[in-house]
Amino acid sequence: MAWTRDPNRRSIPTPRAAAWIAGLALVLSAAPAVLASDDWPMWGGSPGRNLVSDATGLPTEFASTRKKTKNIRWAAELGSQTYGNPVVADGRVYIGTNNGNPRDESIEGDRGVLMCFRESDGAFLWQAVHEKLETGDKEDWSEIGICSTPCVVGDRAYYVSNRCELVAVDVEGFRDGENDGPYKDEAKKGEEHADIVWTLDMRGALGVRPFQASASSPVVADGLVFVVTGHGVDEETHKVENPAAPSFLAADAKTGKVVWQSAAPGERLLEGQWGSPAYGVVDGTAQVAMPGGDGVMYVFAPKSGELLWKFDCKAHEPKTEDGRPATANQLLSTPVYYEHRLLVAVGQNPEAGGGPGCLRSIDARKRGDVTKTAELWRIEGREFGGSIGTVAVHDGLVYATELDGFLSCVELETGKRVWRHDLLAYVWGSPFVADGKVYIRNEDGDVVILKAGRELEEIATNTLPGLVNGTVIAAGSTLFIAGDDQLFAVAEGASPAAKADKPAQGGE
Amino acid sequence: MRMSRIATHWVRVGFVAASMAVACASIAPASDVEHWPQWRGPSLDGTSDATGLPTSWSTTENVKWKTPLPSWSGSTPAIWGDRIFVMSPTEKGEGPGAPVLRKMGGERAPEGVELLLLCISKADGKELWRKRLGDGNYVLGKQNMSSPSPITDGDNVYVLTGTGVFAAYTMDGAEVWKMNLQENYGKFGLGWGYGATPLLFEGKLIVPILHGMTTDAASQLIAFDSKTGKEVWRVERPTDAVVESPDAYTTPVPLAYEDRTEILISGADYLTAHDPDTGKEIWRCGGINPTKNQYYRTVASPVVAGDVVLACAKRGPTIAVRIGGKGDVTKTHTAWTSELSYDVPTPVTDGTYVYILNDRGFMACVEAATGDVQYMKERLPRGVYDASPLLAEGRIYVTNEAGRTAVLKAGPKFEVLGVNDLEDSYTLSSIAVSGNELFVRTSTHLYCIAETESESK
Repeated sequence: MAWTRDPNRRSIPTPRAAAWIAGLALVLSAAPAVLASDDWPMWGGSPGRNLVSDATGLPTEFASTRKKTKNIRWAAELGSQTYGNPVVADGRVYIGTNNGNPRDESIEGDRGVLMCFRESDGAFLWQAVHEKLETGDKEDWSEIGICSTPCVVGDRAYYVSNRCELVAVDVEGFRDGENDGPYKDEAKKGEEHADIVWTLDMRGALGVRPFQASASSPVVADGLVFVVTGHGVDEETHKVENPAAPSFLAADAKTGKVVWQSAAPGERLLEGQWGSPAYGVVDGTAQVAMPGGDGVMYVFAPKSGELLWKFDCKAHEPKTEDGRPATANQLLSTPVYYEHRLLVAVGQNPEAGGGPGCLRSIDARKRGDVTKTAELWRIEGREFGGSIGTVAVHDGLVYATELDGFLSCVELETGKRVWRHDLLAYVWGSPFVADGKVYIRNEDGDVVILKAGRELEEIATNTLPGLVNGTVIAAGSTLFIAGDDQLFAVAEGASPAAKADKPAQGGE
Repeated sequence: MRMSRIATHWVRVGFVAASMAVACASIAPASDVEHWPQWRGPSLDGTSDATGLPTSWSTTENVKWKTPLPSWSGSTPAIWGDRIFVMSPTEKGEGPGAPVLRKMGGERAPEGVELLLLCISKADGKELWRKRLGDGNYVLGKQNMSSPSPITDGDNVYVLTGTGVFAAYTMDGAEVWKMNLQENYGKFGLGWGYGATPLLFEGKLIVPILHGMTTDAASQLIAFDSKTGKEVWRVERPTDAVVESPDAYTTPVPLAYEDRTEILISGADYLTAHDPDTGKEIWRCGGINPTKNQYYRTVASPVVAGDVVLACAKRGPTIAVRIGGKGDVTKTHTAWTSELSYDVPTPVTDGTYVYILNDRGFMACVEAATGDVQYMKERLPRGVYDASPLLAEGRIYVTNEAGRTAVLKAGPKFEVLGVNDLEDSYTLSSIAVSGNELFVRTSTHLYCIAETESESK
């Protein structure tokens, strides 16, 4: 039953690999560039973060074992732990991982790594490698690599490094023969290394104190990069040692200069902040929603940084006698804009288990502190346990996970539960809806595929080697599914086990 | 009878420790069910022959007494006669508390830097004496430095701390011997700090030091004379596991069959069996970490179930190894493997069925001999489970981190008999049994749970 990997090999063993690669080269030379509409260039696919795609022809069966390979276009080697989720843009695939399986043998040891692959065949293009923070686990947990999912816009990819830096890189790396700046001090300038355009050291320059990990996935709009800085409490004192440091900011996408910043949660931060912002246009007005580590949703005017509205997503929870929050629940899932609504689930650090949670639909048209006025509906307590998943809204239905292992389908208008499916293992990831199906992964490595809609119907359950947590995404008719140490491109009718992962030769 | 086969074998090889329930009832100074000498109880497997145990309780119902404890701990109390031994850090007092080196999620009660052994009266919960074992307590994830459980044989109580303090005290708290393992045998190098409970077996304390995450030093097994603390034997336990996978938090388990006894060790990608007199490795089985995952540290201890031994690390697989092998038995003695997995809790077995508690709150039951699934992934009350299950009177007791205990019917069908809440505080310890009483250690209290007169009408 066990799939065994020879640690010296860099790909899934397959006798037909050579033939496949030869054939692929022919296809490539004739194929047009991948269409932009086939992209999934950021966490959630679009700035509103709704995990829904119009991709079609997506597979429901796949496998990659020694005995059976099915619908695997390619598999690319990652590090040894992968907390990032893949994105696909303009023929390139990006994912955050660690250095557990070094691509560059001259770089050994624990690092945060962003890898970039060629979308057509999985060939490795380049990587950005970041050293660990000197402060160790309290700010940069061992071996977890880069947890941020990049946002790709035009010729730039933006992500947060394990060192709590907001980073912009050239999508071409050094393969274009240029060192784009202002940042030009890259230690490695080979064609398999990242061309960093700018970095914003949120920790060093702005006094941010990340708690154990920097994990926010930026969103880019209006020429600005929005991010949750990851500011948190001190691990020992459990107090916010620097309440004036920003929790949220907007930086100029070209230069990395801070345009505005907000320290709104201040001393109320409960632990760390690992959420990601969403951007939406509601009634003609743009807004960016920042999930706070105090459980409050802070929503800003994107250009000015003016606070438009805020909503305490923990308002339903009992307080302790001295008025402190009774749970460690906060906002770890990414909010989703859908029409005039913002939808989000509350939950706590998954290492502490599930506990009671809450799923909320909030009216995003009101202004000020709208906690008492903008609630459209909520499900809480035993009805909805703690969640770190982002919702998918499709065809009047909301798909939402609970950490303890449930996927719920809820009516968008009323919050009424339509069904709840037991996934029988923890769920860190989020549902993905496309092609009439819901794809959801669990911690046991299962990829469960359900029929989208009011009728609960399981279509299939598949697995792939090394799968733990994560979210399925699609670009074109290909699913991208990351395990701890491999990234799989899965498509209907793909030849058995394509060999991937040879360094790309020359230009694309 | 459930324990008879194993018990018979142990008697045949001369195992006459008073802890053997079935075999030694006539020799033991008190009835064996009175004692819970070490982590997994008198039978070293999480089972008890006690009867009349309570099945329902709350903070007010069926509580004979409760005693406040200074702090939380992953250790399980040990009991001999009228004495209960409990490990704990001090409570946080003036000045800095215990440093938190690596914490992942959840609130922890504050605690102090000193490590204590408490002796508590079983009759009324009063503290009889306490020993300060040393300071240097710190927190690493779910561990502070008080995770190894105390052990007692009725003559002495033996303790080991995560900082390496290793000592024996008389039942009245007089020091018999004391040393520091890190000073004598090198620094511990586990990613989450040292947490293994030694095995007391035939007068020897067998201490596994399986590590690698933060050290290049070899892993080793060391046996000490329990009377003197002198080293009896020491062997290296080699592994090709990498990064965190060499680390183990497991307790050795004795295996007796035919005319032999072996000491089983799980961890670092292997299950190994050793000669109790020399420590020499007799056999080893791989397959616990088939993909050579770098983060497969082992927490759960081996389980002897009929003619097989179970082992599992983190997310599985679970392997069952037929006893009786020699050398590398990976290819020849793997009876079955299962995708069922368990990380922290050690399963419990009646010899026919193995009850597997998955940390995430799922229960499974497999037939030991074949691996045939009787039921799988049945949901328990939601929560995280670290404590190992107790099997007694045809019931299984499983406790989660919130101190909530579900009582299940043993057997091939999943059936929840009841769910019992104590105060919601960080609970890691397994339940200990003495007489017809259960002892539950939460982060704040030690509870003595017993059927009260009014309810046993």
